[in-house]
Amino acid sequence: MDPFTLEPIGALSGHDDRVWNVAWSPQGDMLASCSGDKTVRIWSRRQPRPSEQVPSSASAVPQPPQPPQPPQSQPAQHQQQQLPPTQQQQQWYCSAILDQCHTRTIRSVAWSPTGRALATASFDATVAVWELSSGVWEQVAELEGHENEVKCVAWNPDGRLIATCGRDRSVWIWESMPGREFECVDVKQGHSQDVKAVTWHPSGELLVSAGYDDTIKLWTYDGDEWGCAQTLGGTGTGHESTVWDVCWDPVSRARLASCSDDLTLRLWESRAAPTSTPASAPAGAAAAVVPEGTVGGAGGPQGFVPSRPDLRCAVTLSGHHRRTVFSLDWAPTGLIATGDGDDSILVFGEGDPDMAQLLLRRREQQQQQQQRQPAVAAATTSDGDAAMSEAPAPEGQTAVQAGAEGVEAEEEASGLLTQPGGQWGCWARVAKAHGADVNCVRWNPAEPRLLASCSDDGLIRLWWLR
Amino acid sequence: MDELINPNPVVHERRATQRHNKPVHKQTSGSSLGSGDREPIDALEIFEHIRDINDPEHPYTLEQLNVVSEDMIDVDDARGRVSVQFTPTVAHCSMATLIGLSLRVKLWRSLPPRFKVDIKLSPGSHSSEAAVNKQLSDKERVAAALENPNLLAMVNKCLAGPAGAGAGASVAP
Repeated sequence: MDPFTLEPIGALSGHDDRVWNVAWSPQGDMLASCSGDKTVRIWSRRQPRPSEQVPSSASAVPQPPQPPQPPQSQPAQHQQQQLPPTQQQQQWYCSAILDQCHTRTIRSVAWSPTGRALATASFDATVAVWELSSGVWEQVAELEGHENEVKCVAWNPDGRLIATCGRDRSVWIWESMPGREFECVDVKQGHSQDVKAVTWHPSGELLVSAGYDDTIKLWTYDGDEWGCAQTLGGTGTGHESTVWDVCWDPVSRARLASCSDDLTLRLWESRAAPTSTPASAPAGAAAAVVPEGTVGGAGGPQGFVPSRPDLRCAVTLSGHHRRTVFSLDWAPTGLIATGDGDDSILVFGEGDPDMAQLLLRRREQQQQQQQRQPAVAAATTSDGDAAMSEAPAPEGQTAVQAGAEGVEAEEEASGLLTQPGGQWGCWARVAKAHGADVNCVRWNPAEPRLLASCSDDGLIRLWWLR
Repeated sequence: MDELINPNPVVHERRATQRHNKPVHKQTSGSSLGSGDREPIDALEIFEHIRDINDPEHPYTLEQLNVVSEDMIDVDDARGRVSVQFTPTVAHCSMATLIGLSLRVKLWRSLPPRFKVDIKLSPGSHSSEAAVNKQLSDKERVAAALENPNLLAMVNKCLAGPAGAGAGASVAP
């Protein structure tokens, strides 16, 4: 029995072909999906009914998510859940279809950091940039240059640069110019085969690319051009087949995760980082003792300097996947979700899963208490930690164990459920999450327990971590 | 094509096949139409789907050239897995990818979507075995290839029924 479960809370249908990629808007209030049907769909959260609307000072700020009804029972009385899963499902609908732009499969979609623009990469060799103006999505720019299929697009953290990659084995960097123009500022050759994925380090100082040549390349800027600072891979030191996706640890910002056709997940960290603490037999509350300096993770760069990357493979998670791992995403909770060619979604965590479950229950209780006091709840939703405020009711079973209190207090502040430095394990598994390959999994940035997945079966599914 | 890759392939007869693994309960299935009584898909059924695919360069089928055979097919019906190994007539065959693609497309069009199909060269049958296998198992490359009208036309030509029968005809379901 897995310590966590992913509960299905909705299926979004509409695409006529396989769905390749999904991306949450930075505010978490919209989901973009792209497909072999040559369209992008935007899925929006339905606004709460007027009676439930909390007066908002600034209309530009997205509405904080509102539970349909305030929780009223104690967690112990979990038989009657205050928020049935179906309530979540009803909150998402297709608000826009972006079509008649790309002539072939749209492989990748990315939001600008402000959430006001969208970039789409297509097998038709082009990248399009879209903006929402007076309620309508308009294509405002086209980036042409790749020889053939573009496979991934990523906006840098300040929104000034776009990176793209594709079958022509190159990585392109485009700069946003006045007048919604984009100019190619660099083309990086280096990969010996097609490049499947590009992603930026949260600092913007480092670009990562990975692909069919089994390697991951780290690119840094020397003030003039981008250069390859490190290549992760090569016989015996990295992945043994195509690398399909890469993602940074959003909390420490010092670790990179990658997934591959070799059926493994790998975690890369600085050579300068202390060797992963040998997980001292995680049994009971004693395992909750987390090494000094790693608690919270957010503070400790763990020896990693983005402009001078020196990564090595620190952890290999094998034996969990039976077919190609196509996608992964690392949540602010510390959990990593993967989607694979076995139609499964897996969730990995580090440290003690029982402790993590305890933290989750604790947090739910606190939220419920806050929700009982509307004034407090409204205040809380204005900051980033409002994330959990829409959590459906807990299942109960919150036997608070002694000994965990100290760690909880610290972890509470960071939002982490995991204990960095601990042993990694598979904490949740959904077999047959879809009717075909799972192509992409993404955690919602505002609600770290909400996961979106998409598949060759043409569907997007939403999941709630419990 | 200026020059044939294999000018003189060995041609075999189209064999008569019979179901040797026929499930015993088959006879009774007519009486009960319950969905659980579906007859499992076996290697022979897969073979029937692919035996008459045309070779890209010869007027023969893949069966006649011994590129595919029933004993190189593995099926796990319960788990929805099909594995097909094929053997090009020569080890440097530049058509290997096209043959593999044709096999994949034919099975994709013929089988229920719950099946995952793996297409591979039989071990030792090709000079670029690993590279061809990797390419055939990369769903993104396959998807992109099938959006290429020229390549799709070549695949469809291979799938256009018995050799010599109206090239360019539309493809069977």
